[in-house]
Amino acid sequence: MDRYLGLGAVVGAVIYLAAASRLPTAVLGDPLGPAVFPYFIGGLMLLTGAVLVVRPGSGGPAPDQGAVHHVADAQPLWTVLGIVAILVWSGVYFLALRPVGYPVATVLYLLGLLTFMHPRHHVANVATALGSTAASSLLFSALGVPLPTSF
Amino acid sequence: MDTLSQIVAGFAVAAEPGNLLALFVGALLGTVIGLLPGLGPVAGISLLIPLTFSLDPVGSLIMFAGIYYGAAYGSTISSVLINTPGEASSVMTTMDGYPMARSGRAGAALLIAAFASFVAGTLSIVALTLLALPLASIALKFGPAEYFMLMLFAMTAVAVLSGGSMAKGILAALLGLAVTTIGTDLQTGLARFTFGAPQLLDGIPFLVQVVGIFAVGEVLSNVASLLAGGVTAVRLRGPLWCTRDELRQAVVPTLRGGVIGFLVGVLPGAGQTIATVLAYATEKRLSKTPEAFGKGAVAGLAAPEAANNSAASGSFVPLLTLGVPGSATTAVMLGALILYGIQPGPMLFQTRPDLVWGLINSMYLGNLMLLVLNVPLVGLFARLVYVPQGILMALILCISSVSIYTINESTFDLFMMLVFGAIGFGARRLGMPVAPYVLAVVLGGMMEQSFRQAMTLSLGNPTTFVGSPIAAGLFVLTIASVAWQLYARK
Repeated sequence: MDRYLGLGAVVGAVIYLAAASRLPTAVLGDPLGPAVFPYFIGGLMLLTGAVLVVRPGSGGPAPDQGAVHHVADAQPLWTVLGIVAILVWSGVYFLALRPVGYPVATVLYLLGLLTFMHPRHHVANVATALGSTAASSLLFSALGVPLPTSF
Repeated sequence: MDTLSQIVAGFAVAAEPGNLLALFVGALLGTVIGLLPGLGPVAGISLLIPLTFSLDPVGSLIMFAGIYYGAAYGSTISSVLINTPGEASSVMTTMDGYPMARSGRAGAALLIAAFASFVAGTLSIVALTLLALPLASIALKFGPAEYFMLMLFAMTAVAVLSGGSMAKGILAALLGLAVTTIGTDLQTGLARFTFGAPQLLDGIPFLVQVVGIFAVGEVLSNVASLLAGGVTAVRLRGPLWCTRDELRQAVVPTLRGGVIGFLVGVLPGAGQTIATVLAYATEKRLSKTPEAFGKGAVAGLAAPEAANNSAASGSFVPLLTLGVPGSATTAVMLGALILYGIQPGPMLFQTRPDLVWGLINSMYLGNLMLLVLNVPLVGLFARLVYVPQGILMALILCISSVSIYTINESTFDLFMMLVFGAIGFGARRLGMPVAPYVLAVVLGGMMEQSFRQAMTLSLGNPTTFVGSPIAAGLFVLTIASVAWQLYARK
């Protein structure tokens, strides 16, 4: 895994440096120019990526990022499909926010998520979707934060 | 004696019923706002400024102080319970606060955070009272080179101490720095790495990245666990409140974090965030069990919380003494002061002692108000872990989306949030630490500006970065932190 990460870092650094090379090197009043810092970062990224490729897994165990539950790899295909489904559903919600309006779009969004993440608890899911949408609408309205309405 | 009488007079002002009510309302609203990722104290104070027009300048400043402290603690609650920091300075709280909550000690985590915040905050306000003017003169000695070295040291410290592979930590920091170069270059006005997208001209908002990586990334991790059948329900374990042993473990990190926080918080800029990082890194370095950090270590929670609250007090030093805001929040307060026709600066202590001491003393009371408001509610907050995971994750996704939308009313930001959510999920799978990335995103812009300013002032001479005692000292500390880690891993 580390080798792939290192390889990805090397490729990313090359792309980044290529994009940085299109920036002017010096501008009047600024002797260094906008490209110096990106070159510095890209160069270090290239080096670090190379270290990961050459010496993968060096250092301590992978840090726990706060997720105490560990992800099992038993069903990677379903995992990927599930994640993609969540992302796509969220994308649909974002696109629907303005035309449909916050209340309706959010209730439908939450119902979809809850049906997937908290299945077979239809009453609780409906109550959560309606209640939290109403509560958040009131709260943001009280704070003067504008949210899209359908009309 | 004159100062003492002014302090006493300030307490009299802060303790007036109208001002106490303003403090309470401010702390309550601040906590609610701080709980919502995407709003945070800056947005909260900005939103609530109109409310304060009905109050006199002293009353409105007292309310601001309440909102400030309330929002800070609200951000702590969301950091601990749902791994979503509401502001940059709460990022380090997630490192150990969230694992502690996930292992059933949510109540203890919130109490330790409240205790550390209260103790360090109170002591730092005493320091503010006594040291405001002398410290301001030291802060003036920090130029671009010193700032650059300070930020480099902070980032190096967190990258090498983040646990796991040092290379991954450094890579995460470099990725964060690369992201900060997206947008319009401040010095030349040229667009960098925007690829023609006008939405990227202002860069990628910090909160979009943080909410994406932490909140959305965590939701995606939970979904993956759900699909693999690996989710176990979290149960509150042991006493709801923290044990005497946990409190004892928190004392020294609180005091150390408080000192670091106040001294670093005095520096205008990202003092609060740097302070929390340095406090965390210091505790980990000094700990006999550094491997416990990142898994719910009491010291790992107490130190950054203490530093955060303490740095908040420190950030008032440049505001009150020099008229220079020390943080985004104090910048908004500066705007509010000017609206009231008050100009902060060295003369403020002489021309408006009632305002200065009323504000400082309201900060004492604000700290106390936070304990009064939130400690009884710890049981309620902690029981949030009993909400079914599926419902909690759905609500987090929804709240995150709405919060991000409210920043710029931009659908583009929402999609960026999803991208960073996928990145956060990927980082978890690849064992990449997130703290170095987040710190780099916060500091990257300032770091580059400091670097270029220092080089411009020195006519391109790089020895400027070790030219002053402060810069040279920070350079030595940076090298030492890397060398020590390399030695310790052999």
